[in-house]
Amino acid sequence: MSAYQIAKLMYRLKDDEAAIAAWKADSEAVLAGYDLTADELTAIRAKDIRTLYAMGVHPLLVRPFSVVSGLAPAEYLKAIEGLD
Amino acid sequence: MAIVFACGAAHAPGIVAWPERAPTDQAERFHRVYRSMRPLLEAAKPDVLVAFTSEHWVNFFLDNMPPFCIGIGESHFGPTEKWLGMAQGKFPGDRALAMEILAGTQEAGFDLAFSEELNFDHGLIVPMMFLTPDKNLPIVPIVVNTVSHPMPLPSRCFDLGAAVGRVAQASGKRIAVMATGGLSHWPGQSRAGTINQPFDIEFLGALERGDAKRLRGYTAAEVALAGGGGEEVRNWIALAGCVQGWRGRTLAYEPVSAWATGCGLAVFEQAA
Repeated sequence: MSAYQIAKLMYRLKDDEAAIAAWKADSEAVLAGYDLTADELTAIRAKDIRTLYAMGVHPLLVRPFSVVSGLAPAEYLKAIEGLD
Repeated sequence: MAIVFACGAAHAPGIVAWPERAPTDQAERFHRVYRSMRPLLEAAKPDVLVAFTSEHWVNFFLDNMPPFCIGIGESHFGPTEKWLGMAQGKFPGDRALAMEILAGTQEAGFDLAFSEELNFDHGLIVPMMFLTPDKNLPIVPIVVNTVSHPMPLPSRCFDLGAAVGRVAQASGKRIAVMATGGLSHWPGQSRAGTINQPFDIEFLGALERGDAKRLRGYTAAEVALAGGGGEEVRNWIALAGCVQGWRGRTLAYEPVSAWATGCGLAVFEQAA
């Protein structure tokens, strides 16, 4: 498990407009720069916020990633419902 | 000179970025009190503001996470979040005082991380929008890690504050000190919007009593009862260490669900 790598990706995508643009243009090229497991890749590609959150990434990194992924605030809260 | 002013202030982004989501009377009441703090600060005629504060994945990441970091830059940039509503730009720093604090706290057993380039997010910008909107008061930020465990123990925060206080009292400058953040909140978490009012009220009560033993004695587990964002009360505990013998006067406490935060505003005064 390398939740660190997921966190690192989300950290880069948090405020950096150029990084967000690159992600939206070619996410696979961006993902190639991270050491992610198959499960992590699957969750990221699916924008599976619940799974990513449950992997232990900090909420203030997951939430901005949900915004970049197109989720509304209510959708984000629904995705993580019941998780600590 | 000495410490001439001390305050604690909430920094929830909603205070400035989505005030309309809160009940109108509650938002207006809180804003009115927040605005009233600026003349109190200005009346103290400070030369510089030392702020115990938090940042939220802006300057630091898990590859290198200091428990405490002081900004020694001649200036600081902010806000990193354009949507806060303050024009981006530079805030003056006070390198000389920051270096004094570095040296003085080292004597007290703290080896602070330091940064020439410490950018401000809402953790400082929200208070600045009310207290120094003209960006004309030099700021020395001391960032406490309140985002990623293990975080510094509350007792360690208190002791750091005490060490900073000794430097400030011996300084030739008129120094204002501030803590930002808290009180209870769960940002980005499934419990977002929950507010632990009993925690907040008990915490403010300890500040009002000037109860150093209680404040220094908070455990990490107790602080965690205030949520992921409530970890920021470490900043207030550091401030309490900085102005020991002073008592907090709560100016406002509003549990604002729409801002997902127990919002506190307090000034600290020397006990008669």
